[in-house]
Amino acid sequence: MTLKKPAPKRVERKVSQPKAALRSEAFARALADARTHVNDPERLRALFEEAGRKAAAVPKEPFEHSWPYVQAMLRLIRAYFRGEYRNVPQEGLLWIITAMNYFVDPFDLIPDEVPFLGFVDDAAVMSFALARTRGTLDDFMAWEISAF
Amino acid sequence: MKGKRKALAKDPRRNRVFAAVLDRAKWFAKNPDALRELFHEAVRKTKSVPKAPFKDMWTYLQAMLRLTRAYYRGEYRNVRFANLVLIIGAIIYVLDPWDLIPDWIPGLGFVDDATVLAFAVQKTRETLDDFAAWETRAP
Repeated sequence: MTLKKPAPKRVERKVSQPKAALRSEAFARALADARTHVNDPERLRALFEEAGRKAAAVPKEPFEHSWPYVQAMLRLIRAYFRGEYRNVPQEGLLWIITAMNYFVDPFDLIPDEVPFLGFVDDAAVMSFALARTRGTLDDFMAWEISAF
Repeated sequence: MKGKRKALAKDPRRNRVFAAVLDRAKWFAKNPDALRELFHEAVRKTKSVPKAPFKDMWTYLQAMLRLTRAYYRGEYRNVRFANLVLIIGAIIYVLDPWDLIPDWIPGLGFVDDATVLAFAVQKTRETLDDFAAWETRAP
């Protein structure tokens, strides 16, 4: 309990706490959307396309080591809505879609247009999802090089 | 001595085994059919190689394999030759298809697999990220 001051309302503008992103309204929205659309191939396709476009345009640095996994999540979503790959636990899929929903949302905890910091919260959400789906993604990538 | 070991860790290309591997890699890079065989053997080996020592680098090794496949198929060629050689070299060194690399030769001084992979990733990260971006935009 070394907090010097009680958490002010503006805490949402602070970046140091990755958990802030997970407590944000944007995250709750992303999760709720994921629950609704997890089995809707058309929605997943739209999400994949939007997130893919965005991934090509955003700075990679905030994502650090998660970046190749972000790409893997995108490919997994595509393989999933195409019905090519279904070996995904529902919960893992949910986290991946949640993270992507959050990623494409420009008005999340730290709006994406904020210089330098705009994607720090997105990166925090990605690494949260990654921590829960690493095995799933590793399996998927193993499938990618074995299939076809 | 410490400085020397540090230099080795920095650039594994100074290591004789890895240098020899890179020579082989050059040949593979020019022979799509051989590269296809190499790819399939390497993929087979991924099942028996423990991933843990590589941590997040493993993802990049997977990307190297997919890039190699896309390359020999002619689907993707947006990679500089030197980087392709390094990528193929890392695959050969780490996954050792056909068990060509002798297990232990006195005095050769092997570089750790993870060090080689980390080095190759450091040099080719941009190429691999570009490739992954292409993958999600390709049909």
